[in-house]
Amino acid sequence: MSDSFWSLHIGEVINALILVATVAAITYGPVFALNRSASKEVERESHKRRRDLVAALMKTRRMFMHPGHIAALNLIQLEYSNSNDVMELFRSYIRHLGDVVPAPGNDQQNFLARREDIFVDLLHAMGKTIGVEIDRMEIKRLAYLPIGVATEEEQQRRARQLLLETLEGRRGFPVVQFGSTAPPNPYPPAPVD
Amino acid sequence: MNGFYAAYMTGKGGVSTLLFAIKDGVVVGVDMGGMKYDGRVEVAEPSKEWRFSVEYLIPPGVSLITGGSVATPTRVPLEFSLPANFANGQVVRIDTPLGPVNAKVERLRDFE
Repeated sequence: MSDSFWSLHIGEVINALILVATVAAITYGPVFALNRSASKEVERESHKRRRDLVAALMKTRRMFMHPGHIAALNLIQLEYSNSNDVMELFRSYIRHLGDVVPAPGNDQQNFLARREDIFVDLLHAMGKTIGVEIDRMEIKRLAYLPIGVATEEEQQRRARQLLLETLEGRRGFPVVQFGSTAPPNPYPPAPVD
Repeated sequence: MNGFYAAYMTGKGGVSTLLFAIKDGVVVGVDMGGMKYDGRVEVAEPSKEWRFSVEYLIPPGVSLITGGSVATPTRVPLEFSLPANFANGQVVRIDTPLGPVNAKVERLRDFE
């Protein structure tokens, strides 16, 4: 008995499906691969930027006034907007940075210790997002900043402050004459009581 | 006695230079701070001391070498004596109503 014109064998159905699948693969395969590759690239870039941020904050974790430190803090919002843990700690840290520092003494020490704790928690959470688990205590303990660098920064800050006060007319500029070229002073010494 | 004189003065608040002239017992001068001096001088006998009786006018806002300043023009009377050889460079002390002053006086020239 011969098959009718419209009857299909199972083999033909399979061949038709393979054909459709082949056409679909030829048509959408490269697009899908391209999208996936682009997505991977975006992820890789994002990971790299996050790693750079963590590295910048690690490098300057004892230099809170360093421009690199400040710039890195300001980029957290951009790179971690979809990370609730990091953003919550970041908000907390920024709030603390905006608080008034108490006068020198125990209150100030506690205040600064709390600030450092929040910063370490933030750094720890940021590290986790890039697969780096950094021990909180070691973040504190292994931070290295030679006293000479801190002293130099403080001296530069102080010199700038004094220069500005002088230029703004709020401070005099002491002038002392050296050497033996000074003309003889005609004035007598000040009277004593 | 007649002639032009320079006096270098030091107080507890700074220094100043006074240029003054003496002619026939009249003393007149001005200093770096803009203070004007006017008065008389006579030689006492037998000590030969020079007895000055002057009044000086302090402009407002000027820093005084004795320290401080005044808000309004102020006239200050002052009487003091100096030894006969006071203009030989020695340091002489003058007690003013506003505080003590040390001075070295130099005679520059006479009127002739």
